[in-house]
Amino acid sequence: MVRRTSLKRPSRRSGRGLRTLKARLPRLRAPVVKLPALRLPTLRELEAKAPRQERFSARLRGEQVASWLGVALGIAFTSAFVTGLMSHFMQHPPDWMRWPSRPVDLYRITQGVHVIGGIATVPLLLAKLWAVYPKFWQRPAVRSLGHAVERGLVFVLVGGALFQVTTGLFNIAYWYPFPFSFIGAHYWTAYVVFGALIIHVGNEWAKVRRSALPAEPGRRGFLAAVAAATGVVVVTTVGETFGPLRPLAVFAPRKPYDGPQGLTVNRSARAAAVSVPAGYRLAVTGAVRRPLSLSVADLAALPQHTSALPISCVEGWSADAVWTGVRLRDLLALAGVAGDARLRIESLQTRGGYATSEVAPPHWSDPLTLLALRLNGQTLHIDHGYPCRLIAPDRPGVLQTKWVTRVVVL
Amino acid sequence: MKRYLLGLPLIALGAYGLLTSVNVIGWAVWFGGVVVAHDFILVPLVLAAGVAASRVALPYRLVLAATALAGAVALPFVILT
Repeated sequence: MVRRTSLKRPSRRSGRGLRTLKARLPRLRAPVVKLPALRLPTLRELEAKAPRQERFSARLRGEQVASWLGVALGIAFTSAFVTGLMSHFMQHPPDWMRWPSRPVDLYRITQGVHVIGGIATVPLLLAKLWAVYPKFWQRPAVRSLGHAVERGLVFVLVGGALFQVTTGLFNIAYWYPFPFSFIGAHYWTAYVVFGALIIHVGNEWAKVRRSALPAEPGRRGFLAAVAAATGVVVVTTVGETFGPLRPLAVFAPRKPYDGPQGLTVNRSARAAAVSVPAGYRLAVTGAVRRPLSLSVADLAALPQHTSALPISCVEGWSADAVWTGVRLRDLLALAGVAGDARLRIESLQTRGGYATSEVAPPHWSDPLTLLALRLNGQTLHIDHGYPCRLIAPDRPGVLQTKWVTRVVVL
Repeated sequence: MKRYLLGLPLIALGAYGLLTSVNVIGWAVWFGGVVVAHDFILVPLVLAAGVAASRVALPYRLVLAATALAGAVALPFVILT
């Protein structure tokens, strides 16, 4: 292809003198340059080269496979949405919201379902996208305004679903290569994905109804392979929260019983920059009749109780442990506290989002809730929160505040 | 239309939250990035692997597929943790 350039003729707006001067100059001609195929292809040429839906020939694809995988994914994403919202609102409850302190293992189960279910979603999602991939190349790409909206929402659904499982997996692998906060992005994207999912299910429901028959042999084999992959990833990870399958948890990102005193540590005292001052005292202050200030010896002299309570991490793992210490409600009775009071538990830790946590009446009045001084029969290791830590039933691990130094009654 | 009445407000709520409390540019790069990575890198690789595996008898091919799927999930944990 040939491009020619020449000096522009003087414009009318330029002065007369300049125009005559320019007209008298010899016409310059830029050298002729041949540009080899540096031109960007037009959209039409791209379209001609792009694959066509009809050319994807794998017989294992098809409506039936897509429908069955879609049903499984619908259940998986609904479960993840519900359990995810529970986790979010347990950690950030609005004022009117009251979570019960029982059953003890409720959060352990819902968060296990969220994380292990999320891991199980990956093979389902990849298989589903493979099954419908030819539709990505359908012609015409857009048939009508309605079709454009539908495809746009499919993009939102696919992008959101991939985004959620990717960021979720990175989070439980403690890898944060992204330029946004995981919690906010994962939480708000969940609404986008679930909204797009409702619309997609509505749009595709007729197809699901007509094709949700027992699949033919080859496709049945494909679905069985996907189910097997899903089963393998569940069985090899669920042991990080479900004790009986612990020996099989070879792919689990966390070994819950590896750590000091037989319990793993998410944030060590060193990582939290915590050191316990020599004159440590626990203060109970705020809306109390008798403010308290107690040394470790004072705490140990109070009636001691033992609770078997799990640490249930937001990252899906959990571990049973036996804690001994002072019942929080005994301590508050000593200080004289109203029954409907809320507490703020403050840590020696000053940095990080989990240096304090709030405790509502159902949790502080539960007899299992302790300010623990001992773990599994030994004085609490500093990485587990020495001198004392909060431990309560049905509560995310990040809210089981360590290195407690103040209990403020609000 | 009921599905749009249910779905669009949820999408709008999520979009509002993303715009007000998340680095939305970084978010958008990742949101589009995972789609591009999936549709233009991962799937073509899978299709190529499928062609390469087409000589393998079907039952064994399905075993290969299941292994690859499970491996795709497990690999990050083995590498990263």
